Amino acid sequence: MTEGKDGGLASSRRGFLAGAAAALTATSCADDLFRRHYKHLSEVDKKELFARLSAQASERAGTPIRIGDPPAQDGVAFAFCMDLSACKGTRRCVSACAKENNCGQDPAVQYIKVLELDAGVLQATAGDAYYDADKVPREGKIYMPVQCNHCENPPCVQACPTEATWREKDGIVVIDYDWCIGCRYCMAACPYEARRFNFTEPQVPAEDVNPVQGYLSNRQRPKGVVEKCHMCLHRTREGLYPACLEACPTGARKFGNLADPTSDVAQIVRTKSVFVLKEELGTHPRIFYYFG
Amino acid sequence: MLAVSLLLATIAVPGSVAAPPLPSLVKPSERLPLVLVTASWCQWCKVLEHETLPKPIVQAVLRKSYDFMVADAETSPAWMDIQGLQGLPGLVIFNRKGRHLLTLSGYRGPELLSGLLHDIALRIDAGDVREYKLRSAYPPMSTAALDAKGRRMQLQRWERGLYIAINSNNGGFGSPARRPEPELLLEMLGWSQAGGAPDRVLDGVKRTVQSAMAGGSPRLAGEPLAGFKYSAAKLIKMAKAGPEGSFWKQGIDHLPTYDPYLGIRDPVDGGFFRYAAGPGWYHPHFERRAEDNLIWILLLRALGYSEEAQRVETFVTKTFGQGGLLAAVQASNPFYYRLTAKERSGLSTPSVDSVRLMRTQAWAAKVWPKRCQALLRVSADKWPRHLWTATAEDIRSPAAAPDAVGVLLEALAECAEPEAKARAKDLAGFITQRWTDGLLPLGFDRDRLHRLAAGICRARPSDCGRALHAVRDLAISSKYAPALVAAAQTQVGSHTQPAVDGSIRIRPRTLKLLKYPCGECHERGETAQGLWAGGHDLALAHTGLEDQCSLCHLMDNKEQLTLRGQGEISFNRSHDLCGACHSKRKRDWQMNAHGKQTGGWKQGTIRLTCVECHDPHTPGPLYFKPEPPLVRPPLAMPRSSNRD
Repeated sequence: MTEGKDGGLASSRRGFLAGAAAALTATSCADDLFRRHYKHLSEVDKKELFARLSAQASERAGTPIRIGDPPAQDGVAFAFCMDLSACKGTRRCVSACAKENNCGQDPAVQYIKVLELDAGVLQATAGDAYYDADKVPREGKIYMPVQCNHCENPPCVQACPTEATWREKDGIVVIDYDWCIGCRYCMAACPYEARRFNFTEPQVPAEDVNPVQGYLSNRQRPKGVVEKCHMCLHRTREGLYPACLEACPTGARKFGNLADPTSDVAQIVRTKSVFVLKEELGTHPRIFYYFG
Repeated sequence: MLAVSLLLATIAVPGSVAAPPLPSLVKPSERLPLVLVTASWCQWCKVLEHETLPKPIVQAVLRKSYDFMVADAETSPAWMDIQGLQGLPGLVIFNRKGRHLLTLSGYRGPELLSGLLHDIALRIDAGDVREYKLRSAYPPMSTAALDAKGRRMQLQRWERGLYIAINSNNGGFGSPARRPEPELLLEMLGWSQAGGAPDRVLDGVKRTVQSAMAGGSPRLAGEPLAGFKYSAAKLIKMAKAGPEGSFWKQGIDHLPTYDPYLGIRDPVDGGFFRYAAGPGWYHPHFERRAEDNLIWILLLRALGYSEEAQRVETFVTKTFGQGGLLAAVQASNPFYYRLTAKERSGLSTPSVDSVRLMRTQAWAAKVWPKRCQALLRVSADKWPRHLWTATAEDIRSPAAAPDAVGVLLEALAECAEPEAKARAKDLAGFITQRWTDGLLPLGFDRDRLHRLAAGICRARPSDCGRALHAVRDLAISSKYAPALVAAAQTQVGSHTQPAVDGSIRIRPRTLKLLKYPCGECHERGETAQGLWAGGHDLALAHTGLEDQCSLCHLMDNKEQLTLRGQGEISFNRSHDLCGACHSKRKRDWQMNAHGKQTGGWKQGTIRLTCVECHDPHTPGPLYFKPEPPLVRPPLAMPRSSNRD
């Protein structure tokens, strides 16, 4: 009896293990399931992870895709300055951003909102993000681009139950899309409506996929995760400008290293009358608005 | 030698079009298949077939390297359509796998033909045939305008041709240089230093110079030569004795008839010969032109062979210096040293080529820029005026060839004396103006115009665009082209690099002016009204500035702007003009609080100037068509961004 019981136990354990193994092989992401938090991964682990993700992404997209993650550098504090008198509401930044970052197209996900405000009423909450015009700027209107403010004291990070979002040492607030469980607490916590949720599998036509991808930035997201502006960290950490700045035809966007007193953003913050959104919340945003 | 280079130029290059299906004549072989295309009606085919080809010198080459076959164009007309065949007789050469490589059209004498075939086989063996394949990979260019791609591809093709020329003529494949063109080498070196030239250009120049320096006659170098009676020491003794010495005749009698690789460096007296001795030349002969040796000095200096450069300098000053530069010029007469001593003594005044005189003087001034004035003041009978005081009218005289003027402009621009630079600038300005007006007697071949344009670029950079524009449709095929390319590289290169204003780097606007120089249409000194009639699609509505073109534009040179208190300024500095009134805006722009930038925050921002966005003639608000808005989500509130 004991023998039979032992035998039954052994066989059932074997069966369980075999079933578990089969399930893991079927999903082919055992490593993804059992890996540690991104911040605790060693360089070797990261290398393996990127290789695996690149292979998966390449297979899905049908083109070679290389996923990497340029590390944050010391002595760098990224910041945006927005010249509101130069912004003409062309939305070039919005489309360039979506294209650069492989954002879903149907339904469209966009990180940047350009708000149309009545001149003289500088209240972002009263702005219209859906203005449609043949010609901008429209009479009596001013325009204000709004996106993730990369707060020094980010409420979203505190809200996240899984530590899927955190602030890097160069000031960029990032999301690990593999760690996000899609609870959307961060979206509720963000006072700037900067975060977007993928209600469906993001649809990006194969020819539109940007093959230069970063793990924490623009790699293609699955359904059910939160995403947002990451200051194009796969570009900016290599010394380039973010895609929105490159696309802006009027030069309303300024980007640079706030920690470097000779940089243009530092000079603007020093010499111009800059303001931030919802200063009273104590979030200390890294996007500074001014009228040039 | 000239004939050989002309013939080389007529070698047709197979294009990308496949040759017609050829008769089974051509089979893969150890040797290179060579097909003579002939016809019964072709007289020169018969001469070639019955008189030239049977000659031992031709037979030797054919036996060694080629599988010789004959094709009758009448029975197999497909041969007449083969790529590059311009006439009969035709010699079609294939590689060992039966792929068509090149076609020689027309008759050639036995010496030339054997030399040519030998050379081609040598090149194919050395793997240089890759060049021919590369050529056919590029489609023919229809326009040679300054557009970047066209110019680049044209340059590539031209450079490959030049590379082949250097290898075949100037000592490739380990053989000593036979007939290097020092000016070409110098210009290619300049091109390489200006940037943009492939590495092999510099390699080719270095190799040729090294081979020219090392290469002497094997006899002079002390190497044994089969069948030659005298030792090197003896030969040197003969050479020193000169044509009058008793050894001279003896030495000549014992020279073998054909020895093309004797080198050009004179290890006895110094300096470089123009040619290595070859068939028909007595050896050693003393045609060491002053002009060539002056260029050799520059070349050797630039490559860091200062010792050898010093030797050549000593040679030039010793040989040509005593009688002043005029003697040097006389010695530069190519026929002078070919004459016997008797014939020479009968000449009271050697004939002097005025163009060569001008060039020799100019090169001398380039070699010794500190003695510029003295060197350019030498006069000769056919050139009554000094080059130092040459006026615009002198430059227009038919005695002044454009290439010589080009060198003169360069020499003046490099002179140590400050007034020389101003003179060069004035002359270049005059020439450009006359040139664009069609008033300069410039009916010369395009080579020389390239040289002139290069000189203008060096002497007066602000006119470089117009000069480049003037030669834009001339195919780049000349030996003077490297000078032009080097000049253009410097000029165009400087227009693609960011302009610098203090610590600010600016996206340059002057590249546009290179493509469409204002001076092409607008006269120098044209008035505001004339400028207005130019047909530009613009209105002038800049408050208070109507009819005041000259406030910003320099009337004497439309390629420049003018700023009160600062004079001539570049179009890249137009923000200084705007900032003269809009000073507060300029301050914002300077710290990048206003204006568009590109580049990168780390590797350096490149700024756009005011006029990239704002029309300086009709300033006003800027309007754009916006990108379409986001589709409002179906369940969203009417103003979804409004949550309060």
